Amino acid sequence: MGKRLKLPYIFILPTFIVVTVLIAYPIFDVIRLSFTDLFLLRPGTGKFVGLRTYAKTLSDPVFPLVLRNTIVWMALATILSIGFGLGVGYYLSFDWKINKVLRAVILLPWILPPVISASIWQWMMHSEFGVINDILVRLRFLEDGIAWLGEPKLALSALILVMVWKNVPMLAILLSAAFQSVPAELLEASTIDGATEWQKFRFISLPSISYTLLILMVIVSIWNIQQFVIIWITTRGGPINSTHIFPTYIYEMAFTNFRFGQAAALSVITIGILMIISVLYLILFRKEARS
Amino acid sequence: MLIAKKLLLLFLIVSLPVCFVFAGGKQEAAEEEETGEISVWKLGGAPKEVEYWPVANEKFEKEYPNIKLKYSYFYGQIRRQKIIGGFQTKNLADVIIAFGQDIPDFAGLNIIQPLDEIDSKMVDSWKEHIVPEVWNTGLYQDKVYALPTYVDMASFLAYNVDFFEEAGLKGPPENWTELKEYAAKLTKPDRPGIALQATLAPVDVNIFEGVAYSNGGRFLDEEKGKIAINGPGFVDALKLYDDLIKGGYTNKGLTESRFWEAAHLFGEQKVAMWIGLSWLASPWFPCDPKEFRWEGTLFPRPDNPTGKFQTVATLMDPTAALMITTLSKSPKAALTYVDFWAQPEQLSFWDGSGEVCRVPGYKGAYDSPDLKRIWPEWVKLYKAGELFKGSQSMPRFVGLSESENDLAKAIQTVVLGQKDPQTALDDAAKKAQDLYDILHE
Repeated sequence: MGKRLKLPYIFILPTFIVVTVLIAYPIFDVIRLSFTDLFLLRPGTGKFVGLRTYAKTLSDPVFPLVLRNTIVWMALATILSIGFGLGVGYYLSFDWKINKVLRAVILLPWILPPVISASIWQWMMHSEFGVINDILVRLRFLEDGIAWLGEPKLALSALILVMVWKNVPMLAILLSAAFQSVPAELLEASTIDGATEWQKFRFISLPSISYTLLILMVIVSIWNIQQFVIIWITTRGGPINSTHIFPTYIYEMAFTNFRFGQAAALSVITIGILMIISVLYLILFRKEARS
Repeated sequence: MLIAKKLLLLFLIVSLPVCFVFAGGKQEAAEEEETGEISVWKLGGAPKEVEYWPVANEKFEKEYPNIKLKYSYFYGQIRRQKIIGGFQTKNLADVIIAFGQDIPDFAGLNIIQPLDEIDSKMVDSWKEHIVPEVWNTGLYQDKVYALPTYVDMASFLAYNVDFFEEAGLKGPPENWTELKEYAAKLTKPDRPGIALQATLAPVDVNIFEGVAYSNGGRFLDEEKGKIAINGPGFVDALKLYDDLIKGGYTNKGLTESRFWEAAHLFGEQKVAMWIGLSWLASPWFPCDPKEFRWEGTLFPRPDNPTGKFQTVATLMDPTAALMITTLSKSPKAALTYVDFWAQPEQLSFWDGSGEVCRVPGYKGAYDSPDLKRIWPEWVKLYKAGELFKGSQSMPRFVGLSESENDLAKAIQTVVLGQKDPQTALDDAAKKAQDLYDILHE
């Protein structure tokens, strides 16, 4: 009996060790650091200072902008990615010949390393020689090229579109698989009952994949909130601070400013936001499951 | 005959052991100095340099078979993260090849150690090969922290000769007033007169600093310990940028155009002039520079310098400076590696035969026919003692990276029309001063 009780623990021990060493310890250490004033350039720092580093972080004039940007970035990039992913995924779910090719081709943005994607978009969006401005000017939508990444009011929106472009392929493939798993009998029955394509999508296909959709929303939110490369390569959080989100600001705080205490506090705040999102999604999911 | 044979035998008996003793002794000494295992991190660099480094490393391994070399190249933009992360986790290379401007922060963090404290005699022997002004870029607080292989200098102006002739302009502008006049004359509806850059990339700030220092500005008044970027030297340099923008003579998206995008604009003949560092014929140039007629020269000087400090001809920084870390377990072997790079055979890579976009640190490079062919002006100025005259190292003090980043943001507020130069620089100076006071109290 005793042996039987121990066996499961022995099986989960390797996982427990890996999680402890690679996840729990770093998180614990970041939390510990966030309660210190560690500033690498200043000798004698790194002592426990209670909540003082958090107070300093929250009173930083850039913090509200970074928080706002992070929320906008995460919300819009997630909603748009899921929205477009849903549309493209639904299209790809049909068993048409062209879709077999498209399913492979569409993955290109997802496969490209983020550094390369960011650099390509940076050139494409350039006001003087970018292909996007060139097309818009030729089509007479614009008189002159716009500095999409150089204008504080536009830069974040432009980068959100890049993020959506990067996310959509994988989402579309996953969602098309989910759509294909919808029972064919249901769709056939609804066709016989005279349902339109939209009605079939809205009242049969969509509810059938709601579980997948919710899971993907959590995952995409996390992908988005931890995005660093796209922004850092293109704008470094600028112009001024207009495209800083938590990961880029944490990086700047740690590796330009060497203020590791504040960087850790910002990281803990990011973890907090992620946990809130995850809990909210779980609550929503449970409600959905009950209904 | 027999006597001669006996004498020869006696000579051999006596001389051979002596030879063995001397040779063995020398070999032992060599082994004492040249053994160990070292790791080297190169962070950033122009494409040709990145290709050249491993080739030279193979030569090093042949010359020093007792030193095991582990070489890695990393993308330059993650240099600080990589080095600081490596230092914190005690997993740092013995030799790092980074920027001169990193020296104060890295020395302050105790990441790098003075080379002359490992072997002052060896380090002294390098001096004879290196241009003194370039040598000084590796010093910090009178200690040698780095071996500079070359420098980049700020700030220079590239101009399109065809466009100049078309506008009836004979030579490059010599002062700021002329620069504005020329920019106005050269501007066409579809072609700005001059390309400026104002992103948050450190190089863009360095280019601006070159203009400000030439106007008698300083980042820091070292004697008083006061940040001076809100003084007239810097403010008027930023006003120059502002005037050019307001006049409509510049490219549109300054805050999206880094040095390589600006280089691209010039290379595509979409602007008539471009401000850059000394690497005007840069690796980012989109076409063969021979495809159109262009010249490079020093950025125009202010008509009447307004800053209170000595005007500076150019600012210099070595961006492939070899440093030895404090975590090195084989500092002697690491120094042997640096010594290898201090030799003319390696340094001559930057004499125009290998890489063309750097200002060589090796004295002998200025006798190279390649450099003479590619940069005749540099060679002429060097021979006349003018190339480095009045030049100094780029600003360097502990905490500079944060303050330079704040300066970059201040420049952006002016470029975007959110603040006037004085207010923007007052704000940046206040932040920088608070930081400086904390770090130097």
